[in-house]
Amino acid sequence: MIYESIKMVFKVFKTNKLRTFLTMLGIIIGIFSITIIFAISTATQHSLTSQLSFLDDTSKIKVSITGSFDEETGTNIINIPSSEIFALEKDENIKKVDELVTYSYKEVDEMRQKEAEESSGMWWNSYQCQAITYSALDMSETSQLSLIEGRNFSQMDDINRLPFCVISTEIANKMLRKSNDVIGNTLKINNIDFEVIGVYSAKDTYYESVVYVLNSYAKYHFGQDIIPQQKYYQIEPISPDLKDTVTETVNNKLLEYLNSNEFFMEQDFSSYEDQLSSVFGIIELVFGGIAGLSILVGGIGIMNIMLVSVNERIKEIGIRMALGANSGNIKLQFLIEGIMLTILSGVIGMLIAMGVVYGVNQFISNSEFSESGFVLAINMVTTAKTIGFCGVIGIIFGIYPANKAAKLNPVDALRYE
Amino acid sequence: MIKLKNIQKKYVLSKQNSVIALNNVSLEIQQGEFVAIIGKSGSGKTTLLNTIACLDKQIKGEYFLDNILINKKKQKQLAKIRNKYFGFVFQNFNLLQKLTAYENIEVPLIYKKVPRRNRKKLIEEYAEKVGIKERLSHKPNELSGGQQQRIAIARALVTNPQIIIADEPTGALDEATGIQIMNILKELNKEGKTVIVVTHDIDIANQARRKITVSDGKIISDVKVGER
Repeated sequence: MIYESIKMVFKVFKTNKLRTFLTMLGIIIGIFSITIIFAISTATQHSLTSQLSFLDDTSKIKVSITGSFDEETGTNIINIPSSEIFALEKDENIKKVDELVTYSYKEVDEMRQKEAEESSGMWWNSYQCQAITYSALDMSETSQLSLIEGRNFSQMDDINRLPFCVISTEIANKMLRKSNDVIGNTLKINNIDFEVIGVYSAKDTYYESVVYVLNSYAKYHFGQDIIPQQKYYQIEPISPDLKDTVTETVNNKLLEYLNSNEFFMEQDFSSYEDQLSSVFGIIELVFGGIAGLSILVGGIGIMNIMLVSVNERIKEIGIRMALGANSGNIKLQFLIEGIMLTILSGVIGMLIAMGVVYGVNQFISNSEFSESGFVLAINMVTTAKTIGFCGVIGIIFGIYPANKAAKLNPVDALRYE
Repeated sequence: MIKLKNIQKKYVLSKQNSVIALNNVSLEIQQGEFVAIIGKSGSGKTTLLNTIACLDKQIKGEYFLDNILINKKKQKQLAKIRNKYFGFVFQNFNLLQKLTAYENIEVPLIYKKVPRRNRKKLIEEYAEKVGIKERLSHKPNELSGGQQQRIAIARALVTNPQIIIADEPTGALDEATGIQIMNILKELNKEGKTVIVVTHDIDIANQARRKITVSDGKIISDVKVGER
C-alpha cells in the first residue's frame, strides 16, 4: 500500500513538475539556511576553541605549584615531593601524570660579560629551564612548540637520560654570536653542558627564554643543587567525564601538603568554551529561528498546494473509494504526498548545502586562510534530525488536506466533474 | 442476495425544498440475475444503483446484502464490502489517467491487500479475458473507448466479485463497441455473476433477463424476460 502510494505521489509530482518545485522551494531554502548556519556556527566555534585551548586538550587537569617564597634564600619552597603527585597515578580514575618542572638558572654569556664588566659591571642573562617528562614533550602532538631546526626529543633520549636541550630561536641567535652552528653546540645550565638538538619558534615572549631539557636527566643530575621555581603537572583522567572527580582528588591531595595559595589548578579553557558555546547557542537560536520561519512558510505553501491537489483529485478519490479504498487509505495517500514533498525538499536543501560547504572548504584550503583551521562541516546527526523534522512538518501540514480528502462521500466524489 | 426494504432517499436542498429520489422502494435481486434498471434521467435509477453498490448509506429503510444489514455498517466496513462484492463499470470508464492499464487493474487488489507477487497473474488473467493483454502498459489516453471500457471491466473483475454494477456501460461507445461490451457482460452473467446494468437505452435493457423501470423514485414495472 505504502509502496503504491509513494509511486502514485511521484506520478503526481511528474505531472505537476513546476508546481511541485515551487511548492518545495520554501522548505529547500529553509533547510539549506539552517544547515549552513549550523555549519558556519560550529566551524567558527571550533576554530575559536582550538585557538583558545592551544595549551593542551581540555581533557587534562593542569596544576601549577609555586610553593611559598622564602625570603632568606630568595627561592621558592615547594613542600610536596614529586613522588606524592606521581602516586596519584595509582588512583583508579587517573590515567597519567606528567610533570614539568621550571628551574631558574643563570647563564653567563662570556663575551657580553666582558663587555659589560668593562663598562658598568656584571651582565647576566637569565633564562628559564623547563624540564619536562618525555611524553609531555611530545611537541608535535600538543603543538606547543613548532620546531624549525634540528629534532625533537625521542623516547631513547628519555630512557638514556641524555643531556639534550631544545631552545628557542632567540636563545639560538645569542649563541650564534659565539659559533656558526647551534645544533650540536652546548649550552651550560647550572654548570652542566647540554647539547642543543633542536630550535623552536616561540609562540610568545614567555617562551623566548625557555630551554627545554629532559626531566629524567634533570632530576638525576641537578639533584638538590638547583631548586625548582615552579612545578607544573598535567593529570589525565581515564575519561573526560571523570574530570570533576579527579580534580577533587588532586585538590585534596595537594591540600595535605600545601596551603591553598601555594598552588592553583588551572580552570583551563572549558569555562571559556562554555561561554563561547552559549553565545553561539544564542546565535544559532536566532538564525535558526529565522530559517525555521522559512520552513513554516514553506509548510503553509505545502498545505495550500495539497488542498488544491485534493480538490483536483476528488474524482480519483471517488473512484478509489468505489474500488474499495477506505478513508484511512485515502488519508495515507495524501499524508505520504505531504511527507514526500517535505522530505524531498529537505534532502535537496541538504544536498545544496553540502555542495556549498564543499565549495567553501575548497576555497579556504586554497587561500591564505588555510591555516585558520576554519572548516565547515555538516553534522550527520543534525542532518538526520533536520530531515526528520521535515517529515514532521509534512505530517503537520498534510494532515488537514488528507482529512479533507478522506471525509469525502464516495457518491459525491464519484459524480464530481 | 440483494434485498431492499422500504428504502427512502431524500435530497435536502434547503429547508423548504427537498427532492425525494427514492420513495419506499422494495426490491430483491437473486444471485446470478441479469437486471437492467431503466428510467429517465432524474427518475432515481442512479440513486438506486448507488444504494445497491453501498456507495451511499445515508438512506432510510433496510438493505440486506448477503444477509448483512448494510445501512448500519461503518464507512470502513462499507469500503471492504464494496471491494469484496462489487465490480464497477462506469459510463465514462473512470480509469485513473496517471496510471497505466496494468496499474489501473491493480488498484482494487491493493485495497484487497493481495500480496504484490500474486497480483501479476490475476491482472494478466483478467486482461486476457477481456482481450486487452497487449495494451497493459498503455495509459488510458492512449487507448480507444472500447479498450478503456475493457480495462474497466478487467478492473471490476479482478477481485472476483459476485456482483457487477454497470452504469450506462455503453453510453460513451459507438454501437459496435457497445455490443461487444454487452456481450462480455452477458458472458459474465452466464458464468454466474449477478449483473446490474443501469441504462436509458431500451435496446440495452432488452438484453437483460429482468427489466426494472424506475420513475419519480418508484419502481413502476418489474418484468422478467424468459430465456431466449
